[in-house]
Amino acid sequence: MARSRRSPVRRPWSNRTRETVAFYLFMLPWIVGILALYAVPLVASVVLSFTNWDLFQPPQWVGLRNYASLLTGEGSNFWLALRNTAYYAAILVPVNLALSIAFAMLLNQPIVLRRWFRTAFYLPSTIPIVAVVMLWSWLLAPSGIVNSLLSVVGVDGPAWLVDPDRVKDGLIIMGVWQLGGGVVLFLAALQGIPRYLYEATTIDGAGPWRQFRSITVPMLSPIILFNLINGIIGALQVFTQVYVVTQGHNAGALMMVPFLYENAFEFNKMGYASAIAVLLFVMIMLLTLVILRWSRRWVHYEGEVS
Amino acid sequence: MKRRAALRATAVMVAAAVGIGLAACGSDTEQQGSADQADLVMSIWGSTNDTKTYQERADAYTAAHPGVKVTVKNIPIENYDQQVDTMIAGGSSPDIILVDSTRGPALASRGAILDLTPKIQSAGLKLEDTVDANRITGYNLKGKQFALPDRGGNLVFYYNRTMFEKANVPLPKAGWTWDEFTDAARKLTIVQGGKTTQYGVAIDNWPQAVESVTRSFGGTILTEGLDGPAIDSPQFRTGLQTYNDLATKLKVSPTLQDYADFGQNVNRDALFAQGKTAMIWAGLWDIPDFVKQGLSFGIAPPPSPDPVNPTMMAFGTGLAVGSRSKQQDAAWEVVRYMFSVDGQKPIVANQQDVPSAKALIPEWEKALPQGVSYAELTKASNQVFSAPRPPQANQIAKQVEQDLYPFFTGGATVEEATSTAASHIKAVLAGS
Repeated sequence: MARSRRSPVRRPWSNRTRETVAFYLFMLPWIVGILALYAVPLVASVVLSFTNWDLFQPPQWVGLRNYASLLTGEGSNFWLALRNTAYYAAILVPVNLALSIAFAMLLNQPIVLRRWFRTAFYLPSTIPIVAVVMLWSWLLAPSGIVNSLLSVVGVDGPAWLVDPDRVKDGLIIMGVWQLGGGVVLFLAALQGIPRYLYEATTIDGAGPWRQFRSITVPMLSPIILFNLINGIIGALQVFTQVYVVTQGHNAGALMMVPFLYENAFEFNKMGYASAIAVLLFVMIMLLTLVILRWSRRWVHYEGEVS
Repeated sequence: MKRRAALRATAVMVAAAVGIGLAACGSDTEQQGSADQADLVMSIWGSTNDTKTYQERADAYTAAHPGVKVTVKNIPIENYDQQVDTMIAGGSSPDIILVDSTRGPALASRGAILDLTPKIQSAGLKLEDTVDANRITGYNLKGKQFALPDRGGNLVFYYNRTMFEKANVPLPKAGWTWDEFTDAARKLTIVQGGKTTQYGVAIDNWPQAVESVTRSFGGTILTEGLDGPAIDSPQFRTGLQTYNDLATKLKVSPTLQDYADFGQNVNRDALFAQGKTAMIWAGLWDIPDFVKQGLSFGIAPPPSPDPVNPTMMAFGTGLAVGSRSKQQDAAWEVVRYMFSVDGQKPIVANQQDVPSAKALIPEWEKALPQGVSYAELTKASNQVFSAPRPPQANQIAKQVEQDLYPFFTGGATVEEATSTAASHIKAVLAGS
């Protein structure tokens, strides 16, 4: 300070400006990345959804024709893909949520080999999906272990990953097996619930079920919301396991993203595929908005004054 | 102050972005090549032996035309279509593109590969002098020849000689009937304690076999003009039903459910290699693998329910010229050379594959492993067919596979499955 007063060197930029410039310079690679790799393709695919484009010849503007043929066209597989995906998500997401909470609560108890169990439950979610499919196509084989166990209790198990009517259930079983990530989140949240809440309600005479409903669930609700939204998005975008199991040949497991993929990259119908992407995007956005709005009623944030 | 800082920052960003953009555009130099001075890129898929063989064939051309050099670029088959598409869309199309009869129409209809018909005519080239006429149609779209046949081969029928001799069943030969075949399959199926330990034949929903068998019953997927479905015809239905009856009714073949019990990726070829089935429909590319397994086997034409119908789908590849190539003339000359008998010789010498040139077949036969004879197949060479395909071939093939799948798993009747497929094909051909 003293020196600058003695010899008044003209500073071109104030500290604040310099900071701003530095900020943008450091951010530049990321900003360029998000513009070039996300924003441009995103806008482009919306525009392309109104065209016919085979990648080589210039796109032809067709207005809403892609949407019309997807939604109402004869022989369109859109509704089949949507039905399959909705079935998959509607079962997988709630089952995963309920089981994740249940396992997290069990693993939060002072049981023997607790650490071992915690690892064992988390491990499946770290296995690459292709390996999971290899494993489960063996377990779920028509005469595999799962069906052998079922036959012990008198159930004639189906050809899980072969039968078009059962392949979605097989995929759901694989998805449930990989619930470890959710369990870890719930476990962390459970450990963050203050003990005094339970102690206070015990004194007030609350039983375990009442405590679960009035303390555990409200305290876990932000994590439930997070897992719910992520679970729905993940389930609606399911791709790898479907492709590895069916190679796209079993219409019983035709889901939205594989449907998009085959149109774009196997049939070169980029405009049509973009329309599928836009519809999927709109559906996910709407669902997320509805859930967020609904969550105001049941999600409880700590420190929130209501 | 704040606004100015933001403006400056924006200016920096814009400058950087423009710089990146310019750098990306800068390298597009026009090359006007001539027929005898060119650096060509040829895209192929396959093994290292494939790369080696194509490079040898290209180098043989370079030896006679020192100005023309060809770089063979081997792209993994799983990404081949996408990478070639990206190269073409990105302005660096391969000059010579390896295609097959489903890939070709998709490229040709999008204008990515050249219609070679004018070049063939002006060169006075008669393709049928070099290759069988029924191989040429597979690379033809609406009268436009988009590729020259390159490698040959077709679907054939394999049998396990040891099993046949043990069961004292006469070996398959040209002209054997469907009844003789099912009779053999019954005798060769061994069931012990309620479990099948050896299958007479192993069938599944492999599209090439499905199309060949239904064709031998007189059925086709599309009408002759490629403008509508024929998959719901009585001939196709009879063929498909008779084929699948082998698994579901006669129980001489595993069903799709049985395959799921054998493990991931265990298909008909694997069963044959493991000595668990006496017969399969398969491609000639399996020969080296079966030799390695130490099997005693033979090849023959598939059983024929009606001698007037063909039984074996042509496989193989074709060579096309990229229409966005800047050196089309040179590329055409190389393709033309590779199509010739001389140009195909390395295919035989390196035991890469079956050549499409008729003149080279005797030499190729000599290179077959001991005990494997091509004689019966030579007698039936008129049973090879190559189905012309519409531009939507990929989509139709996939749709048909999806629609027939429930039939193979027992969830739909042949009428239901083929009617669904027919209505889907109609929609695809109508452009939705």
